Amino acid sequence: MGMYPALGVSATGLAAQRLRMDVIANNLANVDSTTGVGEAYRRRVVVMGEAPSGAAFRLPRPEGTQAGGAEGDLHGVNVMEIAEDQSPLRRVYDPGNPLADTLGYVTKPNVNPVIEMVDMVSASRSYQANVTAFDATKNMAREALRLLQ
Amino acid sequence: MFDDLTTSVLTAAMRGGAARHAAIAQNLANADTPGYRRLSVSFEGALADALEGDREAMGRARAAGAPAGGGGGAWWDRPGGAPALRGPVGTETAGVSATTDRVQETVTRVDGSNIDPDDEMSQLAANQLAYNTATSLLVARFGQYRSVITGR
Repeated sequence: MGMYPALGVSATGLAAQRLRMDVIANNLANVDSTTGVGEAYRRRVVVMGEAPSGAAFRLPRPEGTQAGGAEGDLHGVNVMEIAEDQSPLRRVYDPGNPLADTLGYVTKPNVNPVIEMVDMVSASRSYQANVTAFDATKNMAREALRLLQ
Repeated sequence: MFDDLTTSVLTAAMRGGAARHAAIAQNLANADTPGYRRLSVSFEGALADALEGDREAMGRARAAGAPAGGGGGAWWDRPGGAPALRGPVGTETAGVSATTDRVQETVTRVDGSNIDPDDEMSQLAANQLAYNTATSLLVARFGQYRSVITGR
């Protein structure tokens, strides 16, 4: 039956959203991490893409779908990379700080806690959506197994 | 023995439901993928057409087995003897496969994706219900066979 590929597809979604949550937690933890004079932690973002055929998660095509191109091949989602946000870093006047530059400014990360919180809620909701899909697959498979009773 | 039209139609509906479920799971997994275009599964139209074709084939087979003179009565009372065995039932519905298409239009989001998670969730629930209905009907159908076989 074509039920088990759907479990794998939802699993890729769960893994991707969990990784996104980890990266957001890392950003929030490093909200004040200055790494040197004029240098600071850069906010990281997870870049997602649809998993191509032949991806790491290779899933069988569900029976009953046509093989026409990529449409019939379901591979879930893929994390392409964890990219660094290239927006400018913050500068804070703090001449007493040992990492301050000659003008007395300390470079701080480009992490905005509000944006991170919103992203966290988004990742959490997407995770829940994948859990619901996973649960629905389980229910449908259980319902189909009733045919054997 | 189990090649009746009901079993054939319900099996095709379950196949289509499973394929649609996999597509919705794929859509939900890619809810945060920029530029993603949603997958849509259709099989109901093809199934309705195939069902119509199978009904016509059954009608033809029935007409071929009917007594020539229009006389009533069971076939064993008629001079012609046993009618020809009916042809295979549900051949067209058994061959129905679901088509998965990528919806290119209706881009509604700034990231170029046309996924609406709420829409996908409601489709997930509706599809699950339809799938479970087909399964329950098939369970009931096999229950009928079971009561015929066991006599209780």
